[in-house]
Amino acid sequence: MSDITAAVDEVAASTLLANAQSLLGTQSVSDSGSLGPFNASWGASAFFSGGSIDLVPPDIVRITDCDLNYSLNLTVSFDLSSIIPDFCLPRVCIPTPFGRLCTPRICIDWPSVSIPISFSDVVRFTADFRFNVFLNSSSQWQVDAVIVGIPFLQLTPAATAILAAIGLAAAAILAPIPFIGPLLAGAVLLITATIGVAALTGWLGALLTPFVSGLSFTVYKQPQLFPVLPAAGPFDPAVNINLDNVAVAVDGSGGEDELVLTVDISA
Amino acid sequence: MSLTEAEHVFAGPHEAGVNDLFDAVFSARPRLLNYASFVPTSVSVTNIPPISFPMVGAIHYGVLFSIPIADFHPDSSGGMPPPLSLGPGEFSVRTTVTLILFCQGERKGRDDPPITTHVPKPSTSPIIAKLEVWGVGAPVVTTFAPGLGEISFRLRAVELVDVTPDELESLLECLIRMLLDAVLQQVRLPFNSLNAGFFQLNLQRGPEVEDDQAKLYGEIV
Repeated sequence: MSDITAAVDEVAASTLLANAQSLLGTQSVSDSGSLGPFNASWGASAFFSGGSIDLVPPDIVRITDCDLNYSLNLTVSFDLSSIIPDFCLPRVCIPTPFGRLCTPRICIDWPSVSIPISFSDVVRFTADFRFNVFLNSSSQWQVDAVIVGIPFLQLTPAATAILAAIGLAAAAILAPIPFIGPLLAGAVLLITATIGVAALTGWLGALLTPFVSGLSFTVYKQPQLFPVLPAAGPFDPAVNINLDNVAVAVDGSGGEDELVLTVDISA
Repeated sequence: MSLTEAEHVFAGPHEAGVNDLFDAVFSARPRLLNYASFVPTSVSVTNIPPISFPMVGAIHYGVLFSIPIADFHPDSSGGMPPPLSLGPGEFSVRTTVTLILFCQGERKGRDDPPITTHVPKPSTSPIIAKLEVWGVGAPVVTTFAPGLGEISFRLRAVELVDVTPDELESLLECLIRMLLDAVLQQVRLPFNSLNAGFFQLNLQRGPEVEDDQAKLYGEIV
């Protein structure tokens, strides 16, 4: 038998998960690229919360309904001329007693516009995790629950919402531009239709998947030279023990699934 | 039966693990085992006052224990002397105690010069007696706040081996029980060390000594 055995049930494991989620904190990425025919730059941050634990012997921790809380700062930029034909007032000449008077030909070169969008949402997913026990570079025993595979993220509703947000933002930006009042509604429709829900879903998937791909929660981390008692004066130095080996498993042999940590120690 | 039983978390240091903890504590702080009146306190020894007696002055002595070895119920120590027995929830401990006495004013023979002073100096060659000691007791828990607590060990009985007559044995057993109990009381193992820092234990039940383990149950703070 191991020197130390410690176990938690699924209720306590959920508490450990919440602690691990807090420890993981908020992660961020930023990048730029194309979104359909448009240029886009974005920054995304995400953190995890919630979820309940289902321990599955011998080595699986299933986290059900874990929330990926993300925020996007997206800027879509495009040349208005690419979707609205340039507008030209033709030259008009009028004969007068003083000769022909002609107006100049006036062409409007539609500007490039940027549409900034801030968007926050939650994607709920369920995933299986396996444990990875190792001695890290800081001589600490570490137990990580590492995600198995990439979970399916239901992104279509979020994409639809983002698309609506783009439409609203585009309408607000295009409204002050002169001469295109009648074209405004069409332009907004054209922009949103050009991007499309499918494109946004794919883009969101590419953006958010890295947050969950390889996701790991640290559920145990302690120094190999483990402090038992702190120093208590000149004649009572600190007391430490060596954690010689750490192992973790999911055990259901007792009639209840438990996460069991076993440790061998030495003085 | 699951490890956590009706509670949510479980910590169960095995007797071998507790002995490793004893090794760590007593190796780092040997003065918890060694007491003497003739040396100052250091990491190795704790100074205690000498025995004072009229017309003798200071009687210097020392008490040295070896690192105790614990055995949790059921008994697997192999040789616990009667009448000691290990009951449910108890642990046994075995160690050796070395008693040192600096005898004063002793004449080697009838023809030695008579003692001429009432304040003799300690002899340079002490009398040393080494005894094997067995004891039984139970762990005691102290909690300070949710998640903060410690376990120490208290003795209820001690048995010395091969000491006669019985009255002397009883006297020494009483003395050694008090001393060894005091030694063990100074070993306070924090909850954190009993689960290797896996979680912060809010103790609700235990320690229950069985299956060679000290079992603690509760929930995570």
